[in-house]
Amino acid sequence: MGVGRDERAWVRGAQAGSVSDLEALFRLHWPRAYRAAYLVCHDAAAAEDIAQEAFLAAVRALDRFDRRRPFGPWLHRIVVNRAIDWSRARGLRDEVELHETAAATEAALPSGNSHTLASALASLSPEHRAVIVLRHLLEYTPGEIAALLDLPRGTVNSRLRRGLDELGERLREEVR
Amino acid sequence: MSERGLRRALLDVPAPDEAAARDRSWKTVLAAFEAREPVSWPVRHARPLIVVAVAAAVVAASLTPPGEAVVNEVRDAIGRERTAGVSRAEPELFSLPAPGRALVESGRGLWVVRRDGSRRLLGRYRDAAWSPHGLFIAAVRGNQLAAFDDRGKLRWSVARRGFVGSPSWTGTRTDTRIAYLAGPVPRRELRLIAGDGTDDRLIARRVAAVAPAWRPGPERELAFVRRSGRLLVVDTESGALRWHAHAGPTAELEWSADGRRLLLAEGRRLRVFGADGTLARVLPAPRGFVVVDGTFAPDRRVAYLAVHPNRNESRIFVGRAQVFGAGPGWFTSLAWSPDGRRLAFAWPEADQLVFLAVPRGSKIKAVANVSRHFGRTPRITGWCCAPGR
Repeated sequence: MGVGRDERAWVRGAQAGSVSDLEALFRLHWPRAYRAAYLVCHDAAAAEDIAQEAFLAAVRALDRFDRRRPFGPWLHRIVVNRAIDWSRARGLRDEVELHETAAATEAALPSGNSHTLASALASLSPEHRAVIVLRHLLEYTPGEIAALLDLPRGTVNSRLRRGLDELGERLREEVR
Repeated sequence: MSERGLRRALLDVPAPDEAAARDRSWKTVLAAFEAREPVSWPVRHARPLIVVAVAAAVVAASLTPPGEAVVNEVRDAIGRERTAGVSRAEPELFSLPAPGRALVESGRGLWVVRRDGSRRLLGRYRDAAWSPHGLFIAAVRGNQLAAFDDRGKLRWSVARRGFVGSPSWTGTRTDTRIAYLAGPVPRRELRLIAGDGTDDRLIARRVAAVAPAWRPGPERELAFVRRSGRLLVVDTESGALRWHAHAGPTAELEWSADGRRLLLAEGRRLRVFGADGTLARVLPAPRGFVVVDGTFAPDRRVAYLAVHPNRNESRIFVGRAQVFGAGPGWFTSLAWSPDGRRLAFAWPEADQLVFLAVPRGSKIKAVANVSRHFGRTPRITGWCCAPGR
C-alpha cells in the first residue's frame, strides 16, 4: 500500500474517531510542517505554534475534509502562509524586541555548513524563503506553489529565481 | 549548489527542539481531537441534503396554489424572526482587534489567543489569570492550582481538598504571590502561595465565592469578601486590616491599574472606593437590571455589565453612558484590551465574541460560530500585555 492510500485510510479512520489514525497522520506530517515553518520564520517557538495551529485547524476541519484530496498540500498551505504572516509581523515590532529576537536567532542557529545555509536563508525576505522551502524542501512544482500561495505562476518563478540568486550570493559571502 | 544538494542541506539544518515540540503539540492536538464531537454521515452531509430537500419543497410548493401559500408563510416567518447577535460578524477570529494576548475559556478548556489570531489550547483549565508581567498563567484543573507559561509548559501545581478556584496574581518580576480560594462551602478559605508554588498559607476562613483582588503596587494589599457580606482590605504581610465596608451580593472586585480605586459590582449597583476606603462613586443599574460584571480600563474608566433577569436582555455601560444594549441573551465576561480601546464580551445566545470600540469611532467587531472554534460558550477572561510587558 502506498503512502497516498495509507494517508486516505488514516484520514477516513480519523474522521471515524480513531486516535491511532490521527497519530499516524500527525507523525507523517509533523516533521516537514515544523521544519518548513522553522526555515521560513527562523524561530523555534513560532514554528511550533504555527505547525500546531495547522494541525488544530486540520482537526477542526476533519469532518469536512474531502478524502480524495491529499492532506499534505492542505496542511502546508496553512503552515507556509502563517509563517510568512508571522515573519512580516515580526518585521513591524519595535527595535528592542527585534534586537532580542536577533540575538536569540543567532544563538539558535546550528553550526557548520548547515549554519551557513541557515544564516544565508535567514537573510532573505520571508516571501523568498517560503518559495525556496516549498520548492526545494517540500518539492512542490511552481504551479503547485502558485496555487498554495494564491500567486500568479510567473511571480512564483521570479521569486524562486531571485531568491536562489540571493541565497547563492550570501553563501559565497559566508564561505569567503 | 545543485537542487538535490540544496534539498539535502535544507533537511540537514537542525530544527531546534523538534522532538519536544512534536510531543507537546501532539498532546494539544489529541486534546482537541478528543474534545470534538464526531459527526455522523447524515450530519456531515446535512448541507447538501438540506439544499436538495428545500429545492424539492420549493418546486413542489410552487406547483400548487395551497403550496404557494405555505411558501409565503414560511418566508414571512423567516422575515420576522428575531435573531441574536451582531450582524456581519466574521466567521472566524482572524485576529484580535487590539494588541496583546487573550485568555479564552470554553467547554473545551483554556486557550491563549495571540494578536494574529493564532491560538493554542492549553488543556482543561478554568479560572485562568495572567501573572503581573504576562509571562505565566495561573489556572485550575479539578482540585489543582497550576502555574504554566503561555505555551502550556507546567511550572508547578498544588492540590487542595474540595474546591479550588479564582487565583489572582501580583508582584514584581522576582517576587510574586497568588491568592486563591480553596475548600468546600461553607468553610471556603482564602489562601496565599508564592509564585514558585511554595509557602502556601491561610489568610482567611469563611470567604464568599468572589475572586480576591490584589492592589497594584509595592504593598501586598488584598481585597476580598467574607461570607457575612463584609468587604475587607488587608495587608497580607502584617495581617493588618486596612479598611472594610459592607458588601451586597458581590459579583466582581477589581482594583484600577494605578491602585487608587477599587470597584465592587454588587446587585443593583456598582460602587467605586478610594484606596483608603472612602466611597468615590456609585453607578446604579437601570431599573430591573442587575450588575453582573465590572472592570477598569487602563486609564481608570469603569465599564460594567447589567442584565435583566426577566426580559432576557443585557446592557453595557462605560461610566454612566450606555455603550451597547441588546437581546435576547445575557452577555458575560467583560474584558478591556490592554490599550483600553476595545471592550470584549461574550454573547452566548448569539454564539459570538464581540469587541466594542470605546470611545466609538470604529466598527463593532464580532466573531460568529465561536463555540465551533473554541468549544462550548467561550469567553475572554484576561487580555494581557505584550510579552515582557
